[in-house]
Amino acid sequence: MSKDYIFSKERHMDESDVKMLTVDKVTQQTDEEVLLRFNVPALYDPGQFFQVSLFGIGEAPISICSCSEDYFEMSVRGVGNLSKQLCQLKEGDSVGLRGPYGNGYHLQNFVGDSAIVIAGGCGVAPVRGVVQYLKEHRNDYKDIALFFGFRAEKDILFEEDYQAWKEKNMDVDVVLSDKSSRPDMKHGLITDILDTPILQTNEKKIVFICGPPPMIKAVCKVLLDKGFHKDQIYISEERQMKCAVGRCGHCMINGKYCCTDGPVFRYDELCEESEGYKEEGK
Amino acid sequence: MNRLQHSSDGLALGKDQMHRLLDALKEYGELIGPVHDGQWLRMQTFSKYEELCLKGISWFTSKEYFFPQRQVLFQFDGHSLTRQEEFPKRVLFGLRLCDLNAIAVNDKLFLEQEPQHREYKGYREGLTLVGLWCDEVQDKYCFCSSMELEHFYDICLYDRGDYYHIKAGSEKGQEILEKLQLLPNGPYEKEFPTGEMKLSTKDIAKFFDKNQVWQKGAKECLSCGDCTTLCPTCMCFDVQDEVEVDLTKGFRIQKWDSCMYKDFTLVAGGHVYRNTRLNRFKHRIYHKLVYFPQKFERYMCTGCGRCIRGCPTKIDWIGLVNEMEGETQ
Ligand code: SF4
Ligand code: SF4
Ligand code: FES
Repeated sequence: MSKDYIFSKERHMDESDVKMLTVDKVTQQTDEEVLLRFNVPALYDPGQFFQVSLFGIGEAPISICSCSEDYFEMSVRGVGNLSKQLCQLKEGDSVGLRGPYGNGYHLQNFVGDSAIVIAGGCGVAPVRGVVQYLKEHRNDYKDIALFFGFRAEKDILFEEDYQAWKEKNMDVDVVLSDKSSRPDMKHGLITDILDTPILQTNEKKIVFICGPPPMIKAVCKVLLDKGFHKDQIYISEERQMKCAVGRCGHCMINGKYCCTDGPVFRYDELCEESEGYKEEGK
Repeated sequence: MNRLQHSSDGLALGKDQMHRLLDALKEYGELIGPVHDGQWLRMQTFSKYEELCLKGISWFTSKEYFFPQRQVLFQFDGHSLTRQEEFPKRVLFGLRLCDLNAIAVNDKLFLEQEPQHREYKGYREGLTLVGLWCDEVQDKYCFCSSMELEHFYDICLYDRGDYYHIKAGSEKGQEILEKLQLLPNGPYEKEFPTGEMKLSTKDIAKFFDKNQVWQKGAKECLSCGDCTTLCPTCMCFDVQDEVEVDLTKGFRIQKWDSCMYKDFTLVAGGHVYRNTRLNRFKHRIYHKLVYFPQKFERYMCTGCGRCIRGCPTKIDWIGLVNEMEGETQ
């Protein structure tokens, strides 16, 4: 049975094709992050994003952090002009949307494998859709382990979901970098909690990483040292995006477009000896 | 554009008969051609053949006529949006093969991938392209014969002294020429002209590590963006909102942008991905000769030479590539 999808990954919206939608639910997640929910049927993959706009302020890419055909959610961190305003939205307010864009995580390609998700800070939001998907399709995958890092207790995202994930036999391991007063959360960096059995061998495993670039770099190094291959690792990239449809040029990483070829890339697609990944002189 | 199979067969049109062609073309839109305004040779509105300057290459490209420097994507008023519905009809007259091919390149990006760019499409469908073949290169900066150009036009004119050999390259061109009832002029063909500037290789990915040579160019670069502004294939753009004082009405606009500007790759949080002149300079050339062809199977440069001709420090990237190629021989 096909629904009447308001947004669909099969339908490409151009730069001037913006749809107005009202926010159905606003949840303050942390001091800096707000979760926006839209109860409209939409067809998207975890890891894809919407171009979200407030007229007069502008437009920016915000990743989808849910996994459902009946609604979608986006976690917004108030750092830029637009995102700060988005964090002020109330239920019933309107925003402009076009999308979904980008290449998300294609989890159906890894049925039978063990899945490992490693994310830091607001990088947890884009992979939350991945985790929701894994939960819905728990029997399709072997072991599932999640490693999340936040600065402090007040920065923790989606904690309300952890219990349900654990009940589905998914390991959730959280580390806090400032200090931890929680017995269930270690103090340290994300790379400090990766010495666990599930990461000892790379056999039939797939790893999804999302977070700030230095974290991604450090985590990839740990994984490669453990014997993981670059083609088992998927990372999520961030670039300035304007058109989101592969022509304004802003998001190019070498010959790849972060908006259409990414934002999720297999690690070996990017880290060759290529521009952007090499330090060069002034 | 429904293109015809290339043929060298054409018709003859006396130069004293050009008003007939122009009259027929007027039916297809406003006439725009190379006019010298005292300072610049530039694509501008004209009405008579005598106004045209058909020697030399226009300093600016014609892209402003289908990809305006400032394009309104929509107008907003509160929460309601209005998009542009009407697009002008225009005849671009006397375009050189480099600029015609540039439009074929632009089409790849804006029309031949999903989604099509709605506004580009609007302008582009209103265009009629009339080319003028170059018998010789226009100056020392032209290197079109290195760039594997193709026949891409509605109509093309070849100068034969007191008349033009004129031929159609599309169904629309054929339709226009049929109205003129000209005499057949048999086959006539000309090579792409070659001057002193030649690109010795386009396979530049192999030069990635030759930083010292790239550096020679980067060192001279002012990051002014003139090269990309003048380039007929540079179509990168920014998107911004312009708002009226009441803060509820305004425009979402698209503006020309340049990969040579430092803030082009700035992300929220302050990081600039291509933060050195060297990697911006290399990116521009790589985009043209490596990245674009990987995706669209043609070069994103047509050898018009404007990026060197118009560069305040005359950075000759062709020379740099040739130097690197020479070293590897
Ligand atoms: S890169 Fe330079 S020579 Fe090539 S099309 Fe652009 S302006 Fe012309
Ligand atoms: S025109 Fe010349 S100086 Fe200006 S950005 Fe381009 S290469 Fe650099
Ligand atoms: S955001 Fe415009 S090309 Fe990717």
